Amino acid sequence: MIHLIGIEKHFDTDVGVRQVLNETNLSIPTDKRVGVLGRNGAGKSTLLNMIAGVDQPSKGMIVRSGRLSWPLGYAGGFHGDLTARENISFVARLYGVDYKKTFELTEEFAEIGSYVDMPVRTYSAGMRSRLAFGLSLAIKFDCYLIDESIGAGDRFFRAKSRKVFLEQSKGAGMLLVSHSDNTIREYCEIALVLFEGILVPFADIEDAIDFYMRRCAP
Amino acid sequence: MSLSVVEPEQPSGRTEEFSRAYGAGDEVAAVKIAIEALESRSSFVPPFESLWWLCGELLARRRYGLGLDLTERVWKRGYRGWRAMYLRGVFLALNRDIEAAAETLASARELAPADKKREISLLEARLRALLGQDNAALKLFTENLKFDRESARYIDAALRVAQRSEKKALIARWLTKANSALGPSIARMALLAKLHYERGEWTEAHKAATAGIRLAPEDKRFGRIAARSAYRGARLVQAISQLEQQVARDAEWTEGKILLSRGLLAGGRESEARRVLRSIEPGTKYEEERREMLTRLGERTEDDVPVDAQATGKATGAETKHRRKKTNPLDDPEVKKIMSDIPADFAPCWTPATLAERGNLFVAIGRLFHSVRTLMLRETMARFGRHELGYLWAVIEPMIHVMVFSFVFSYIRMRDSLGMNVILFVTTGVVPLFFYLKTYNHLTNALKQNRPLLNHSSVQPMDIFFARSILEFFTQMFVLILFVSFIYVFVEKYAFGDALSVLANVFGLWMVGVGMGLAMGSLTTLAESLKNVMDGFNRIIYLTSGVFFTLDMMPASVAKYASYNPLLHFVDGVRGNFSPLMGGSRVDITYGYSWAVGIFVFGLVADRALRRRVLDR
Repeated sequence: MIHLIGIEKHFDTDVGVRQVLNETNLSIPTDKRVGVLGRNGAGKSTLLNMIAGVDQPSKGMIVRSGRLSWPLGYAGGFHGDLTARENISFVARLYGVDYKKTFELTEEFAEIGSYVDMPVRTYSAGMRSRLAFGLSLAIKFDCYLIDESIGAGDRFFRAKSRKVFLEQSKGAGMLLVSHSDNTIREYCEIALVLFEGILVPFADIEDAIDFYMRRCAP
Repeated sequence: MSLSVVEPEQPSGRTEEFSRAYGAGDEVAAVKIAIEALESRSSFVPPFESLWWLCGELLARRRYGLGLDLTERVWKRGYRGWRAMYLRGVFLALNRDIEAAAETLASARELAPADKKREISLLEARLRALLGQDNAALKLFTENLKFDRESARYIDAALRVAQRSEKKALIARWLTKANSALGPSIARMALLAKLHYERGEWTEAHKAATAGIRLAPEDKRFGRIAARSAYRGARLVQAISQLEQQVARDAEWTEGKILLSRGLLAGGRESEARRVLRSIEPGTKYEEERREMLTRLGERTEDDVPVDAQATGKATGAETKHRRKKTNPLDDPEVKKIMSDIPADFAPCWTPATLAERGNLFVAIGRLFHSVRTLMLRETMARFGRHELGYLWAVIEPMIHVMVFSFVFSYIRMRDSLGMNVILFVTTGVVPLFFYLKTYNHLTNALKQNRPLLNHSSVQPMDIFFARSILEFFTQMFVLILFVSFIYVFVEKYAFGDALSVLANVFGLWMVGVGMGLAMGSLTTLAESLKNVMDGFNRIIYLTSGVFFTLDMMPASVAKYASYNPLLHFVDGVRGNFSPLMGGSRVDITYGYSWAVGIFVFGLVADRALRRRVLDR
């Protein structure tokens, strides 16, 4: 469960306060496939960042139980001066999983060959995101956090990562944040719509999409 | 055109006849031969490919009857390729047998390759629309409609069906797409404006109507909708001018006159309102409203004017812009309804136990320990990997400082006045100060640089600070031990004082470094320039913190001020353990520690207060 206990988020900018999320009291299940629909700039990513822990709510707190992944395929967490091998060993140690197995799975998936012993800063963007995606998939989580697009790289890689992800996440929950109703329809069971700073919950995907199409349209 | 025969070993005269007729453009003859061949089950079958070409010709020349004949024969022969069915469907439709055509196309659609599927589906959708099977048609359109120039006729058909079945959201979406793909058309604009107006989306309705006016300035519909929606959208000034224009052009539009007079009244322009009201003939269906307003004009009350119109109207001269007040989404009836009955999946379900578990001290310490240890390992590996020198740099950098300053001291200053070995003097100044400088440096940017690590749910901001500062302490400790041991072995056998005292002093320096690092890392989000100020300040610290001058060397008048610097006390305190002549009575570790603790606490408080700001950047 991810408990959003009285959280609220705004940014103090030079041009005034920007309210991203009004006070929210919800519990998001981590054993279901949950979608978050919202338009560009509605604050979807901020919400995901808050759940992941990168951003902090302005008020209230978020209590997480169960093993949450970091946002799937997020490559920013790598240390540029470390090699892929060292980065993987850091993550494996942090999550207390077997390093060797994790490394093998990641390497097999990411297809970076002999580059595993080069510092990550020398990687191309594609390699980096493949590595990140592979690593996210090599560790079992109770709930996967996903921002927008599933998979990175060329279409073959995307198809492959989609397949592997669906296999890996079988039985696990996920929290998918997207602006595309089709993506949400494809992957999720229940959904939240981020509408003018309010997280509107729906037990039915089609209701959510209907609401999104009607109310969030410009 | 190559017309190969199905069984090439039996070339017959018919084949030649067919190809000759086909080549000569005599499609009647060609069709006849083909039909005959299909019926007689003879070995001759014109290859299907050429039959399709023939059908194309027939279509182009509008010989629909012939085409149907031909495709019917193919059908009867039992051939069920998608193209055969498609063409049969087309000819059926052209021969006005719509229902059969739609069914045939439906089966063709199932078999067709993906690129043809869309075209067939769209055609079928149009036929179904003609048959009045709106739902089926709409479904096909939604799935297959593409908004580009080529599909223009389908778009119009789709819009008609959608209109008939009153799918307003869908129409609005399609219209917007169609307008952006094909450029606006009058009919589409009128529909869009009307639609938005009916749904109460005044701004959109006004926009669409204005676009319509540009296309067809004479069309009354657009003017009326534009004026009405401006009025409903409570943009008073704009509404009045638009209503005035439209009423001038469109004299029998009574509703507009009523609205105009209402607007004028709200804006306090009573004489004009009276004039407009007089121009309305009595006895229309707006009679009641007209009378009511006239009486009100007589009495000069303003109670009945719509609320937002009144508010905006009062506040302005004629030129001020009116904005619709932003509504609170929680007041929205639909949102309110959903939020008052949250689905079971999302209903808040935390208990005191959930929260208590989070506060469990042992769990928290366990997590902290694990996380800090892992982060320290990562940081260590990163320092090895950064460049060729790797971790050696941590030793080389202070070494360079020591060498340069020892050189300077040996030649420029009186060597003997120091009271101890030059290298030892410089080492015991530079390395302790590095406890402060390096820790400060590594902590100021720690959170900003490592922000992505917070994506891992087991890493908290404090862990990053812990990891970096502890690592720094041990690194500098290692450097200090290495240097003084080296000097003891190779340079001079000095009398060493108290290890605990050294530890206490460098710990104080480290604490100041942690406090300053935390404080500056947070405070720079308030004022970026603080960082530059701090850089300059640290240069001064370097000069005045006992690296070059101990407290005892200074004349009393200077020492009075210099002794305010807590770092000086720590550095001198360290040095006192390496020579009995150093660390005089003026050195006061208690004074140093009161500052160190103060700065440390200040750093923690600043971090706590501003951490969200740092992360928000």
